[in-house]
Amino acid sequence: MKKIILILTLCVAFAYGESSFARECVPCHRQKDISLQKVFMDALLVYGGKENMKAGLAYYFRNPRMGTSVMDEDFLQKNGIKAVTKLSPEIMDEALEEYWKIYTVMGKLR
Amino acid sequence: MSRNKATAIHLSSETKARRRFLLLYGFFVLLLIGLSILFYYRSQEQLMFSQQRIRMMEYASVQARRLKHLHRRFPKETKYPRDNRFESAIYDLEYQKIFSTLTEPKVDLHAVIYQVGEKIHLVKVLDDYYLGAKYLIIEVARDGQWYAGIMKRILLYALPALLGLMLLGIYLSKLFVQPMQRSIVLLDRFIKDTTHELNTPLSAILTNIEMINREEMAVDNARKLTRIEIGARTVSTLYEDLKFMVLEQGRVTQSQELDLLPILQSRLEYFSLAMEAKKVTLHKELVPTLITVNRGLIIRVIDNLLSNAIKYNKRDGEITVTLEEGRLMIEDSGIGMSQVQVEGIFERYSRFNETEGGFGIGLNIVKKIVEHYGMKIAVESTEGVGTTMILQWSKT
Repeated sequence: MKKIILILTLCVAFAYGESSFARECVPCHRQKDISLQKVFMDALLVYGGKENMKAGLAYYFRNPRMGTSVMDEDFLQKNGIKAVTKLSPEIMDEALEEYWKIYTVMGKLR
Repeated sequence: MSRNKATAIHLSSETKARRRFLLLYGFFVLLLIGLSILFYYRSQEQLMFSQQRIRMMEYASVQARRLKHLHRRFPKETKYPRDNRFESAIYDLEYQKIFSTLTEPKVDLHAVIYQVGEKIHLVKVLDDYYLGAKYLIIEVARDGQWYAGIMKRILLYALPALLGLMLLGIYLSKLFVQPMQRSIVLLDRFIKDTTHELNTPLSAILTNIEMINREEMAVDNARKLTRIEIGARTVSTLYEDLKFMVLEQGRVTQSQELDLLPILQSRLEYFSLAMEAKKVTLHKELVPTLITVNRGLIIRVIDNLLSNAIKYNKRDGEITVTLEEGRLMIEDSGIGMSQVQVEGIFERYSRFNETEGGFGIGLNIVKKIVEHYGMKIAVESTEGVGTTMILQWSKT
């Protein structure tokens, strides 16, 4: 049943041309007014590479705790710890890939 | 120690030994000098790196601060920090290039400082990954004067050292072959002295044997006399070889066009007693053939080839002598030789079989005469089957 819902969700998403990142991440960040750029740069400072960052963030989404977050204390006190993700690994990987592509430093320096 | 005519011509084995020594010595000298140059260059390079390193570490700290600044301002500010004192590049944790202004793009992220082309690279591992960079590479130009100075010093010391060591090698090679040379001189002197003493008694023996009337002798005594004659003829052949080697070699000889057939027949007749004694059957295929040589020298060649074919043949064996235009072939059914033995049979003092007599000079003489007349000699041999000596010359 879950698989059918997932496939239907993906079909709708494709039909409307909306990426996993835009659908699963952006609305919440926008609502809480948390800059995705700032979060990316803070994560980049700690993880230092695409695959490392994707793996680190995915782990945090599955195990959200103070100890597994890369954000500073002020940020966590202000925004709290996010809830455990309900996204499937495939969707999460797709969203994180999109996240990296949008905010990466590579190819943007001159 | 004076040298006679024969010793003046060095043994090829002596020359070979000396050549081998020099080759081996030369190889080790080059290896030694090469390694010394390498170690010296590396030590000087390390010294230069340690001097450059302080300056480059300062540049790296400056650049790291600039990266930190840019990280905070990104993406509003995207201009990578540049400095006219150095070039730089940043790589992430996964060795992916983030940005580079290096003129030598080849980097080694596992090294600390290294030379690439005309540049020196310093790799600094950053504690915080500003802009995602774990590795910061600083590039400066190599000091051209340092390199020229090193090369000048290497040439200044290495060339005289190489020359000195090579001269030492030549001196050592002389010392190395000295005992061998001494033995050759002694052997040659002994042979020369012996040769002088052999002639008179040998002539007396052979003349007197011919004068004895065998028909008046008892059969048993006649057989014994035949054995004495064979022995005397063998010594005579050896005497002729020795005479050639110590007295006649190098002399200008008179060549003339000869028919080889009667000469060969006379030599076969001469060796017939030795063949009979060993029960060797002779097969002949002979045709008149012209050759331009010195009679005495071609007899030396034929005698040596025939005496070897008899000496190394088995009892009840066979010898086939074929004479045709431009070619003399002597085939025996003896014990044969291995390829290694075949390669060394023309060496002077080389004896194929220790159980047989001789000085090991016969085939060396053959080779010298053959080479003197521009002829060719080939050896075909199979162990246990026999040996074929093929003498070839251009048809006249």
